[in-house]
Amino acid sequence: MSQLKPQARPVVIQCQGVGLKFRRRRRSLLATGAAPPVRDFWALRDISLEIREGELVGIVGRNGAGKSSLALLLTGIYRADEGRIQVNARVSRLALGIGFRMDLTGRQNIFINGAYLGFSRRQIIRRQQEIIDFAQLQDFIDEPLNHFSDGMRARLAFAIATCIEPEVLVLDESFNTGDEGFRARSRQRVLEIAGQAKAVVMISHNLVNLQDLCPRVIWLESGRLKMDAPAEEVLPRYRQFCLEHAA
Amino acid sequence: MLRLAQELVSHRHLIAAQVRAELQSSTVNYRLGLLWWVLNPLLLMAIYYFLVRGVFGRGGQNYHVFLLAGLIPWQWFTFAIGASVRALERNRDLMLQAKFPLFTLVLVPCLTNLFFALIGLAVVLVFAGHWPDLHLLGLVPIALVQLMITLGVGCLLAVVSAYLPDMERLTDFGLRALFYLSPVLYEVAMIKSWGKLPSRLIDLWQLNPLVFLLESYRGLLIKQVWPDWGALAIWTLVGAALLQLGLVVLRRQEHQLCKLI
Repeated sequence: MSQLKPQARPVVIQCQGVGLKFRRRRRSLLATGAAPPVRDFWALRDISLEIREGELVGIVGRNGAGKSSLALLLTGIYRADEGRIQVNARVSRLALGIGFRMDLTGRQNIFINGAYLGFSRRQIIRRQQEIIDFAQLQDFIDEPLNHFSDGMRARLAFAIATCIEPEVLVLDESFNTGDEGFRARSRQRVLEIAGQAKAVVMISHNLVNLQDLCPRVIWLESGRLKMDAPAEEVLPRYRQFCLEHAA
Repeated sequence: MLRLAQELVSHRHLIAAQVRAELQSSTVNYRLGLLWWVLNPLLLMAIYYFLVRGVFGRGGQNYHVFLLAGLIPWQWFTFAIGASVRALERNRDLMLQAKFPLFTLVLVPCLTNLFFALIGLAVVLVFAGHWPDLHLLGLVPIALVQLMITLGVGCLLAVVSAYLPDMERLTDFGLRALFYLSPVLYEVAMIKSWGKLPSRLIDLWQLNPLVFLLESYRGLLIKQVWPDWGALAIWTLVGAALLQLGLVVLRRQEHQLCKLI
């Protein structure tokens, strides 16, 4: 990562007053019960933030606060309904098991998932041994996914997903898979990719993790940006807030 | 369509991988494996042959070949449309996990079923009992027209069903009705010479592209006659227009659809 002062580094992601609106489907004609009061639902509203090269930013918020929506906005899967997002880098979200098909073998699924990550067949062939080794599935790789245990599937998914070489990496608390040994290696691997990325956005409920990794933390509450400050300021207040609202 | 070409090129690996996965998945669970690709059309032919010749006592000589030549393109159409209308709903998770043009979700089932249709047409050719000749080339524009129409309609149905899930049911019934409104089990000439239908109704009936398509397939494969070039030109334009319309609608809605599904 660059050695410049944080303020001097180029901006990779810039959001200005961003909002994301969901529209409820009309109810079935015979539906009973109360109709939802409004059809439009703003999952995110008025979000303004800037992420510069070299930053490791954590995002916290309670369930439904809009964390995942924000991640999908940054990766370009959702488009903002208001405001402006400018993204100056290739943003990838670490997504596990894209397009996995249970009836096909582990090896075949490497090709399917790899294709969704934008790899050509030849690129996957070059990487497949590395994937199989990392997932430790040498004996099972030509068995259909049906015969895998959940942990094995997760390991395979993880090994494929971490083949990406993102410029900006969005982590959506997905690297707690497999057994203890695998978890340690997977953490190592995520940190490796993160180290190569220009910037990392990490969404997590694991505050200890965030405290260790992210100097800056953004706190979302009900789709709005509640705080955007150094981790040691945000995390204690967020923890307090969660405790107060737990009842 | 220009963008279509660009997307096809830039996502060719994804599309190829998906079609390959579909094909693999169609055989992998069965002991007979690849044989099913050929057995499918044969068994289909056997059932309808038995039904129409045996039970109803209709159909003439070589009815089985005639029938299969209609059934195969029909199945391509109906399976592709059936898959398109469900494409978004079924791939909900996928749409939120990866960024790719939604068009591929409509294209992949269409190409997969085209592959099956090609095998089926080869079976027809074997049963037709004459050496293949230049007329086979005529299949290319005919299949292309069908491809364009299927994709165009498929895109439109995919979008509509995202807003109105009932479209899935309606499409199923629509396809069933269309089966009888298309000359799969009967001949086009039969309708025209029946004499009980007002000519305006027959004109209306011919707005169904499958009337032209199935007639052309049969002409090329069995009777070795060329299709009606004028009609082909018109249907090519219609197909291109439908495809363009479907693509534009799907692309405009692409970001909304991710949220709707």
